[in-house]
Amino acid sequence: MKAIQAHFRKLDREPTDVELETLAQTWSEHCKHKTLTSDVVFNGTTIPNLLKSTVFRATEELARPWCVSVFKDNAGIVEFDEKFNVCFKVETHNHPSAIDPYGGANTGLGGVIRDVLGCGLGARPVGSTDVFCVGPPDAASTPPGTIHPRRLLKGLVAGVRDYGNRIGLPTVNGAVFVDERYIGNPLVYCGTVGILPREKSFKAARKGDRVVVVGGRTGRDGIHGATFSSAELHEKSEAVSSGAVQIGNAIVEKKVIDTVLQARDLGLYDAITDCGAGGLSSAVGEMGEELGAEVDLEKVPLKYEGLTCAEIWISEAQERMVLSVPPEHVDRLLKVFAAEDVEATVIGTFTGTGDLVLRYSGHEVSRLGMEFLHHGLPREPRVATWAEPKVSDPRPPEKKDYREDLLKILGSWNVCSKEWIIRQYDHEVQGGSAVKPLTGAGDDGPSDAAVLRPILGSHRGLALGCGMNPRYGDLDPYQMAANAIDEALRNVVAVGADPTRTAILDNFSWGNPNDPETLGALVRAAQACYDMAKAYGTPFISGKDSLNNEFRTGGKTVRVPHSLLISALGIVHDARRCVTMDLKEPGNFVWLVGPTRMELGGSHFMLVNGLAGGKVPTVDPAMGPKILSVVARAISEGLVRACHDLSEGGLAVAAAEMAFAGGLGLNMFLEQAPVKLLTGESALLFSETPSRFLVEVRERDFGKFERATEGVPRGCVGQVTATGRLELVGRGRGKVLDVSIAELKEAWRKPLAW
Amino acid sequence: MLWRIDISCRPEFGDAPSASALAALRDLPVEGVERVQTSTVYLLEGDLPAERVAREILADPISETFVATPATQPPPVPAGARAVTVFKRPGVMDPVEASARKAIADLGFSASAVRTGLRHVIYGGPDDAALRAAAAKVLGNEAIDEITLGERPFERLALGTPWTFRRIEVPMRGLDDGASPS
Repeated sequence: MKAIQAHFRKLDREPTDVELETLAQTWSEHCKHKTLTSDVVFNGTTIPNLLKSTVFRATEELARPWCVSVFKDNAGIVEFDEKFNVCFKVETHNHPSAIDPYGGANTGLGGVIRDVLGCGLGARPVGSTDVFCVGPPDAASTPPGTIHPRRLLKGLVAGVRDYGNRIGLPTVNGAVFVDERYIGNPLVYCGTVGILPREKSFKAARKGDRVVVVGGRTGRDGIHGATFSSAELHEKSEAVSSGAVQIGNAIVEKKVIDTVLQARDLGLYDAITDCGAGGLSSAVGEMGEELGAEVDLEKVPLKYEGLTCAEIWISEAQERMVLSVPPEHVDRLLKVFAAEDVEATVIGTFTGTGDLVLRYSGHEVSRLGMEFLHHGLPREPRVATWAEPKVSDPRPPEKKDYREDLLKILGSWNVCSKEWIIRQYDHEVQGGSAVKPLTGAGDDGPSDAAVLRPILGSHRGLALGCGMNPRYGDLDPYQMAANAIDEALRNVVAVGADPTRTAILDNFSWGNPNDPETLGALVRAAQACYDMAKAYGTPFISGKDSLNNEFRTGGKTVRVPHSLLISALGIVHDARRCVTMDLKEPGNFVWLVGPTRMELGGSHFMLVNGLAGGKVPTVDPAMGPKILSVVARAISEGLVRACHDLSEGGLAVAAAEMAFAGGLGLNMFLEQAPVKLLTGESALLFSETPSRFLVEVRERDFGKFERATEGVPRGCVGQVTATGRLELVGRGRGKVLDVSIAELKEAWRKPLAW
Repeated sequence: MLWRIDISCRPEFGDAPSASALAALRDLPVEGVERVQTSTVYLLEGDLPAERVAREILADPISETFVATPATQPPPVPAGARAVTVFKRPGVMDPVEASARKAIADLGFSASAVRTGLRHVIYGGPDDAALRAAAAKVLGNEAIDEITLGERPFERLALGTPWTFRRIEVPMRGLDDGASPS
């Protein structure tokens, strides 16, 4: 506020309401990421620009030649093949979804689709992802002002379903995480992948270009959405924040996509961006940052009369894009949109003056210098502290039989089948889904990642996966982030992606960064992002943060768990070589690749046994990349029949999922399992040590696989059977598990069989 | 003229909206609800043949039935039942409204405004206050919906009133730390 005051004192005039609204939107946490781009004094040491020092820095230092555009455009762009690039963006839509889950998720997906459409000169959306973090759906009660998690989850799923299905976009990958701390402040992540011709990957508005708004009309929808998204929720949010909630119109967006891509291919515009948070103020402000622009607000098509200048300018009405169009192309461009019944209107000009000037019927209502608008925000150093939490390390209980533990873990919210969600999404539309989210003999096993073939005449594919471990964040945010990266990479490698051609995205959803300990945890996670990206050679290409994810109720503030979603986009050189996770054939051998350590901290074994503490799973930055590399090579050489990564629930859960997905039995002899500093059976069965895979190999390929995986810890630990039972013999105490796959599958399917 | 068209599923085709509303109420749980009959409601403003619009555009002649009435005379609620009506709040995006206006125009008529909603006729259940509270949880969302126990009266649909331009300056240059511009 003082910076604004000083600026207008210097100009010797008062600001207008429109100028203040423009600054509020542009300088909001949602738009400017002022916390993550600030200097942070971390335990007494200054880290200049946290994001630049960690996430961006890793990408810069890796300097992968196949990274086309990173952290610049609406989405990160990487090379796909000789003709096309692909782009990927994941957005959060947390606070609107807490108020109206249907509309929040609906517009969350609609918004990220427009990010991709506004990337480069416009990308065609080819697939989407969604991740929901919600309270327990079986919660007995919830605080006032919250929506019960069961209803909330139903609304979120319906919102994504109704947007993605109607627009003809397959929703192919996702996850659900459940924790009581998400009850008041759920997290909603929506992602979209797009494909665009290589020569259409860059854009720049030019002096004299017309500002053209296309798509939906402007109403009071979502006024102050950007600032609302940056604030804490409270008991009355549901009642007082409805203005910030929007509902999408997928049919309009589909028409906008089709017409924009027509205009792109005709070369009718120089630049494009979406109207997202902050509406026209952000879209025109960002597009004209280097030039300046003039806009006549009365020309903006309205849904109804009565909107003030400020409301027209900052409305977050959906389904709108802004184009920068050379004057000589305006008529032709308008005809392209008119032919498909999409409204397109010239509302101004990119001027070259460096000022953003707004008029209403000839009256000037705002004049802001682009320099001040984009660089005038003062950066206050933030204070962050971090101390290793004192965590107990209880000895895990050893049991004669682990049947009950396994059934409980399979039936836990995070692990259980998400078929009820996935089946509502059209995950096959466009015809390019090579590996689908459900797989196996009954098409109901949990795929590690999805594979899309965006060019139907080509066998080249894209693997989409994600990693997220909020439970580990309570113990160690650094390892939480490291595990999320390793998991996202494991998932895409497990289906056949090339880890050396995989890029990742970060989405931090955190609490109030003004709390030094909360910010300290974020710094630790960001440091892990740098370290792991460098260790794995995997660049970040895009990201988004959402802060102040807290809910105030009954005088107490509940902060969400530190939640970092890592999304991975990997190139699959030949989709015909892809593998799925279901066991294929009796007699085949099953290998465990990667060592198991005594790492039950934050694990589901601890959860179902009501235990806290423990050693958090730790990524080995030297061994992890090697393991990914050998597994990827074995898959590409055709040596692998099935592959599944080990994540929540560890070895026992992965083995169970592979068996019931394939409708086959599995005998496991764990004497040969590679272990490190591990004692007891429970840790071997349920430890969540990262960088591990279970791999099914034909008898004839036994030797080849053994040689292909030389140099990393691995062991042949089992054989596929036709018995329909999962039988595990431990390391010296005989059989510790003997369960039918029907019982396992029923436990896994039941919780979300709504 | 403001018309109202109520469209219901024919029971022999499976009434998914009614079943869904009943399941949602029982899932909450709301005790004692025996049956729910859900109708989609269209309010059409304009000089147009409401019956023809309903028959040719809005209702499926095979699987649905409709009743067209002046908006001031909604279909009666059966004895022993109560109605809950749910309409989007004014200004909230309603994609169906946009599609309906377009389809009516394609038929050669003009609706100056359209609103859509749902009417749930509920048999059994708790007292009015409890039913209203339950409806606000599972039959709509008050952040975006107007939820009424009974019929929601409408006089006009068109939104917005003309705005007269005025340039607003915010006097903040002279403010100190304790003040805020009003």
